[in-house]
Amino acid sequence: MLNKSNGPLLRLDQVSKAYGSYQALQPTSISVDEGEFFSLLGPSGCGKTTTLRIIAGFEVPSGGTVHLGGHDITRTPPNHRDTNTVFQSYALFPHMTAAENVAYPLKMRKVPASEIPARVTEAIGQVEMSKFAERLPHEMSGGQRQRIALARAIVGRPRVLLLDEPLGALDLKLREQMQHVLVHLQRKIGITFVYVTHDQGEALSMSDRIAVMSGGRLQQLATPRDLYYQPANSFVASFIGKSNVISGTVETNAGRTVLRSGALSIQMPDRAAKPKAALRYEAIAIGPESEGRDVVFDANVDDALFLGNSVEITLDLGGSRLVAMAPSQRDGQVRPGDPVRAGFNFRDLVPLDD
Amino acid sequence: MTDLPPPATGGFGALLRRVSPLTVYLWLMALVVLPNILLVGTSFLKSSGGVLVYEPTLANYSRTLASGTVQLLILRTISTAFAAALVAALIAFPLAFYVSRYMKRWKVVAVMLVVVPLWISLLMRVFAWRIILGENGVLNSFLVSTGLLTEPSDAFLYSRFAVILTLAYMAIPYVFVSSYTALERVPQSLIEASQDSGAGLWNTFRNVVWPLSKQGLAIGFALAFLLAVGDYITPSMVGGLDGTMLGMVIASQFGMAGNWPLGAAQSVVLIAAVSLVLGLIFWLARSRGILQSVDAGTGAELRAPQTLRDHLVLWLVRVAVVLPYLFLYLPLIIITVFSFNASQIQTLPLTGFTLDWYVALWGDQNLIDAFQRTMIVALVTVALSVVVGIVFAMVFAYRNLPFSRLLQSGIAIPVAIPGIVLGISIVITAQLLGIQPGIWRVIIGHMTFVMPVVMLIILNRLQRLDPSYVQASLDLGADYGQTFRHVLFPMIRTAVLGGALLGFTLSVDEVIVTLFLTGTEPTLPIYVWNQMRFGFTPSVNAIFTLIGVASVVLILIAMIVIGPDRDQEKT
Repeated sequence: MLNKSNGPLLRLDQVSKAYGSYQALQPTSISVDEGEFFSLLGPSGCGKTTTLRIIAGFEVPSGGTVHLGGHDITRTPPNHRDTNTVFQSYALFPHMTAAENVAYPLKMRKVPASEIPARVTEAIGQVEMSKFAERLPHEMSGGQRQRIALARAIVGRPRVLLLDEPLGALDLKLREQMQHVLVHLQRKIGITFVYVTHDQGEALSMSDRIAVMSGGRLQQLATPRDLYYQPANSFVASFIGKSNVISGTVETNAGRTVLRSGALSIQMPDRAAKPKAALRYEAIAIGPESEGRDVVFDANVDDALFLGNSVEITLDLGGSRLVAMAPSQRDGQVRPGDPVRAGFNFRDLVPLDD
Repeated sequence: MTDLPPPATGGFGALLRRVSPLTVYLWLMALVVLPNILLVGTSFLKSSGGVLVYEPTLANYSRTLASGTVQLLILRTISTAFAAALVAALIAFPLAFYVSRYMKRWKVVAVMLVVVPLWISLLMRVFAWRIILGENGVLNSFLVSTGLLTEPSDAFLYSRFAVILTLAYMAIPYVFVSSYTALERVPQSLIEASQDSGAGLWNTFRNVVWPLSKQGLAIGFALAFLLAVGDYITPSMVGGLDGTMLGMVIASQFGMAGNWPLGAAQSVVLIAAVSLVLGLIFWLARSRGILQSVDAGTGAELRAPQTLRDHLVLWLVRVAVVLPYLFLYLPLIIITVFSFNASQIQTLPLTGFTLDWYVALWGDQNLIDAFQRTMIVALVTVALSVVVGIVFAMVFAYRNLPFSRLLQSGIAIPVAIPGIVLGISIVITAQLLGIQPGIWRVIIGHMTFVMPVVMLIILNRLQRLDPSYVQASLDLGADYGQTFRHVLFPMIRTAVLGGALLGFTLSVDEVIVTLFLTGTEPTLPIYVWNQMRFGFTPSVNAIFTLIGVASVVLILIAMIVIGPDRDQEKT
């Protein structure tokens, strides 16, 4: 059954989904490689969960095909697919203990009864829940239920593990801890992960590749670094990290290309400059740091938000505004009204397609 | 469930607040504890020529338990009621499962259609089965005319079969509603998790859906069983000698020359037997774990049929879904049709169209009096029940009364004991307290079961409300009265109206308890019941059709008037 050709493990080909007249997912093509940690990232209603449910088999796409290991599984019901899901709500069976929940997929897939206890113990051990095996779901905390849901999904050793915002209901500390657990587990067991989230931090820190989605459309598919440093459009630029979107007009005279946006006019090194560009908050340097940057300008501090490890400074350039992020310092606090010198480099200015 | 601070200002609200817990205890003592104590007490007394003799004895119990006939009767009553509940469960649960999990657009309609027959007079529904099953009835006419039978059979009516069928018929809506509610609470994500784990339809049902919904079915089953076991109207109308049930014997002890102590003892024995059965049912339905509702149970997407077999299965399922509805509505349709039939006898084929039976109703002064009495009883019962129900619900929701849960269950006991037993316990109490048979006796009797229903509906609504609404209102300077008027009442309005409507229909249609309380001034159902016993005229069909149409119109008006909830808050 294994099709060990060099093609991708999971392939979505022009997959779309419509509910009546509402198009939840525009035709989308995505390929996921064996052993990859792949994320679908976007705000709610962007189509990421629909995509995941199509892969799991809970939805039949209105168009397109889904292939797993070279086999067409577009119309295969979920109970005959080699995929398992970690549900957003965990979906632990409330009348079964943790161990019974984990044993359930093995029983349903007719694994010999003699093998089941050992595999359940192993899976529960992998998520470090051995002490809680006999608890019922309502006797466990959110984080513990989360781990059991994870154990139940990996115990059957699926070829693809689907995770639907699994950390959404956890508090910040637990979420960060679980991120490490997930990445560690994925490396250890080598299962392909398809991870749905709206949290860009989560996606950036864990994924090999990320598909950013919005409005039922795939916006950009790239590695975390590329997404961050080379966003394809203003949606990606503003959704991933924090960016100023500078939009204005491009003027060319006397062989020089100038991007004008409000009070800002930037002499571009590139003749084919686009009228819209993204500039990360942290790419703008403030004060002495700005010396020697490609573009240097004077501005007044409009507002300064102290964020602990950094300060978010809104700069007023005589009408237009830019936001800079500077490392916070014990001394030398920036106050609203202060005149400052700021600057950035051309290479941080990312031209946007739209 | 927060105990609110004392109000800053006095006023009526504050006074009510102070005395209201007392009224809860008072109600419980007067309308639940006292009647039941008196019932048990009476069972240890002697009777001489219909007069109570205050002389303790165990004779009634030894007489009840030693008699082979009574033993047989108890056994038969329990097994008949059990069989009826079982038949109802076998029909209602699969239907509820289908409607809950697979219907989308027509879901609300499908549920309403099962519930509507509850609003149609109980007597009408029983009576309809008599018309269907009788020797000259619809079923026989049909079977003979199609050649399936050579001559009409008398095996259908006046048999245990007829009793079980009719009781099951009446229980279906209860079992359905309770199963449906439980099934709706099973989150779709659990079903998906099961499929995701490799389970097919059957395994998902057996391992996930059934364990999580069987308690709902058990509650419906228990309700069906209780209704059946306390019913003496149905067996006496369709049961004949074979279908006799204990309720009929108990009822007869409270008739003209009855033996109250013996009837009371029989009731106590009946209650003991019923408790045993109910205990067994709930023991069987026990389950572990707590279902945390995370997402609503939206229907599954049915895969489009692909093979010929898929199509065949789909059609079989569709037929199987329609059949229960036919079963529910056929009797009602038949009554309506015969109310326009120009013949004295209730057989097919129809002989012609007439409005005579309706015209005849206008001249019947007794009938009109009974109708007026019914309306007075229902309106007074509902008005009092709503006032008391709101006060009690507020006490339970906002005051930390000790044993609050127990008190609530205590007040609701009259809803949960067999009708026959409730009836006689109230008769005994009313007699002792010197409340004469007549309208007030009936109103008090009805309030014992109407008020708890109204109270529980309002309480359920109050407990879902965020307590900070009340706190916010008090914080903003309103006193308790103002808070109730401007904040609380608008949010529980639909619950109050819903409760009132349900209470009204319960009161208007009640026969089993009322029959003991009316004396010489019958309410409409009692009047009709007497008519049916003393001889039949097709006018009865006409009355029932009118009541049925009026009920449905009333429901529709209520639904329009109540309209959508103002309090759309999701919890």
